[in-house]
Amino acid sequence: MFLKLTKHLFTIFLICLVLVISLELGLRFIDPPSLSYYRNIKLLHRFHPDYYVTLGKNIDINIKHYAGLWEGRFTTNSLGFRGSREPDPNTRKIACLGDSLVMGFGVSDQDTFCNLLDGVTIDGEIFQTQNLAVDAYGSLGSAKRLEESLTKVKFDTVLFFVSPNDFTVPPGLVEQGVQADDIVEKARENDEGYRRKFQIQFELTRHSYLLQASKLALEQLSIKRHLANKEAIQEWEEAKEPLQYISSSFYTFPEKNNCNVSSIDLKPICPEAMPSHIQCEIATPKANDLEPLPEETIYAYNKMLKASKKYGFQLVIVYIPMQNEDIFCNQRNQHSSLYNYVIRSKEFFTKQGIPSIELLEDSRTICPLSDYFIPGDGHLTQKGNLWVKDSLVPKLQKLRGSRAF
Amino acid sequence: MLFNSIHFYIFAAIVIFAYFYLPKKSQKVWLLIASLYFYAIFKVPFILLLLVSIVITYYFTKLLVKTENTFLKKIYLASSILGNLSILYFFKYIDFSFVAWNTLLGLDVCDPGYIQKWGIILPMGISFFTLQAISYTVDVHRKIIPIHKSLSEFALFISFFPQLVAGPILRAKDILPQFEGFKEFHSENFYLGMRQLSWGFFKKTILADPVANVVDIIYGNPGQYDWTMMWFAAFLHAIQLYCDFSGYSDIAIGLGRILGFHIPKNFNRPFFAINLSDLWARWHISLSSWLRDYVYISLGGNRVNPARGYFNVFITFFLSGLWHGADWAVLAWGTFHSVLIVIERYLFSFKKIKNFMESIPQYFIWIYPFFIFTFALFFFRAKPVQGMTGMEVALFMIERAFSFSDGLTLNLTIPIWILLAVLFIVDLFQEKKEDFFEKFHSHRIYSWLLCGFVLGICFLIYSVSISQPFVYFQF
Repeated sequence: MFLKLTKHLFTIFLICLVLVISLELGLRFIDPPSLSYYRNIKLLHRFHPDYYVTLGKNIDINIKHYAGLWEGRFTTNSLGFRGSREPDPNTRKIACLGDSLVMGFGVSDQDTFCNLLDGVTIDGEIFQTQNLAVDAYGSLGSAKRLEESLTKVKFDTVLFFVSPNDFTVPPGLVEQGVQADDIVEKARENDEGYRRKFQIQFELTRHSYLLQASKLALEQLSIKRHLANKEAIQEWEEAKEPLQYISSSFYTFPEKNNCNVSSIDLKPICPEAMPSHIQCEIATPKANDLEPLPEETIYAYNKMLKASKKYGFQLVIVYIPMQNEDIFCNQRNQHSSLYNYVIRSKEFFTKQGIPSIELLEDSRTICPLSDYFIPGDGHLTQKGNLWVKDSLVPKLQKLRGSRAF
Repeated sequence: MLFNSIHFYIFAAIVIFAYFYLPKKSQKVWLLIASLYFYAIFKVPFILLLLVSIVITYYFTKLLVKTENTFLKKIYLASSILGNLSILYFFKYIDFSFVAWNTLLGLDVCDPGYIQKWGIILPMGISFFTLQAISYTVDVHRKIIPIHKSLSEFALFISFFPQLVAGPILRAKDILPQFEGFKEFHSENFYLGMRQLSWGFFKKTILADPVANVVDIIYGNPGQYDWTMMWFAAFLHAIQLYCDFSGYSDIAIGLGRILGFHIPKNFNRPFFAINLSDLWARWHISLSSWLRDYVYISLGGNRVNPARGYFNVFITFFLSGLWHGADWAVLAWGTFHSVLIVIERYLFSFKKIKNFMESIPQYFIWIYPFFIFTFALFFFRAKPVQGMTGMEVALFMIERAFSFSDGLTLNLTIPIWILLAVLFIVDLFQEKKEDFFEKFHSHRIYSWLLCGFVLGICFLIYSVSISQPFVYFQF
């Protein structure tokens, strides 16, 4: 009896083992488009004992967005910076520091604005750029990566691109317990337990496609369950007005054709019509009226300032308007409260004597927005990257002219 | 509810498990509730439409049987048929009628008489369950089947969830008798059902969806790609449609089998057809046979003079085209097939031509219907892009396909090519009357492993991504 049971258990174990191995091999062979994006992103990254995630060295990988929104070739040099170009010891250098937008998600190496800035002439001097940005970094991740990179390469200028996610969370997500990147990074800085668990999880999912897909599946299922609940509640609310609910289920209510509008009028009008959910304010608030920066963010900023003094580079803070609200409101000479993060951050750096560049005014010409930012993704398109580069160069030259750096 | 979703995985597991544990009387009620829930997931009010179709068909058919008056019989028959056709027309064709009206009369937006679209939403599966309902009334009228007394069983016949939204279109004589009696769990049914269901998931998720990605890119911007890519897109679209639709049918049949029902097959390896008529006899069999039984035969079939016979063929295939979509390009696709099938029948009526065709090796003869089918897909798939109508896109692609123009190229990944080759080999085996799957029959462990493999991969994909709807949902 015992032998029979053991035999059965062994057979079941063997079947499960074969199934797991075949799933691992099958996933590697088929590489389904919906999983391939996450897989390639994972393969691009490596665990870093100090700041958790960094880019692998000498990587060459093609990443296609899971919904087909963009595709790009991602290479890294021997230092793990995006782009295959190695630092040239005989040329002055600019470092680009930030998150996925700066790293150049959405486009291939050659089209990132950091790469487009390469070879820029400022005040008669040619600069080489190196892209230090890594996706999902907050200010602390950026500061630590900068500190480490400075031990290997000498930079003359570091452009730090501040992201709203660094220390603010969009309304609606706060209730779901989402925290700003800086808060999360600081909390994890000295958490040895978390670091060890993260390393094990990261390495296992990097080596096993099946484990990575299973982890993703678990995460996504929880999101899907949350969304399904939300949809069910919404449907229930709609059903409280039965006639409206039924008619909207069967009709789309197309807009009436307007005979007075000629075909020329139907062309996109710039600036674009502002989506109804966007709220603008007439007056731009003063820094003193806003909440001070979180101490976690100040901690990270101070790290950068210290590094700047220690290694003798010029830190320049850049603010790219990366939220639709910022651009739409500014195009109407109004202000979006979501842009307050810039006021708060700029106030800090100005007090420290650090120059900053804002590209908000340059975004007045952006139209349509979808040409510059990938719809449904938010990263810069090829044109968007070119716009950032074109907007940035004269401002850098002006700063240099004014001896700000 | 989409088959290719996590929601369906959970739903199917619960429905199957509970189904075999319920007492006899509750089994059908359980299936009816499950079917209505399955449909309500798309949009709850869609159920109203389904119920209207069920009630109209059930009661008019009941009245039809009760009366002895021939005139009244005809009235009830017409009421049931027109009731269902009205639902179909209103939700599927009314907006296209306005477009056709405006186009045919050359009316511009501001001209008097111009009719604007109403913006009707096409509810899922409407083209399937209305035809199913019509077939019931006609079959009762023709005394092929007796009237079915139980409203709940009839409602289950119309709303049976495995085939509700994309077929196969069931016939009452095939399925209603199966509702009688208690269904016990049979491991053989479970095994065969799971095997077919997994095969369907493989075709849809592992083959059709990645192929669709390439097709969508080329059709989305045809001007960017070189002339070979036009043919490549049409070829891949044929593969995608086959994998997508036959995949859905396999899942439906497999699911039915697990529950103890035998749903007739809907595809018979159409790309191994020897001519165009044969291809359509193998593609979406339940629709072809429906049109044959309720349109072609009603028009007189082939028991009429040759000219009328060709007209009947033309009308039948034209209606098949119309069923596939309310759009000029799809209408052109249907007309193209109708004309070619009429020409083919005419030519094949000459013995010399027929003999010549039969003398060609089978492997070569497969190319002809596949090529015609593929070419016609330029019309079938073309959607409006960049200010061009679907018809303009189709004509642009055809012009480009023949103009040897330059442009970008695209390809599938090597694994997908290899898996398509696997599909081809399996179909070829079966075409040669060798059941590929039977080879695994004595070693079921391999079959179960393959099922586990496919369902496991699909589970991971569905968890992470947004499910791609089946192509035939739009019909």
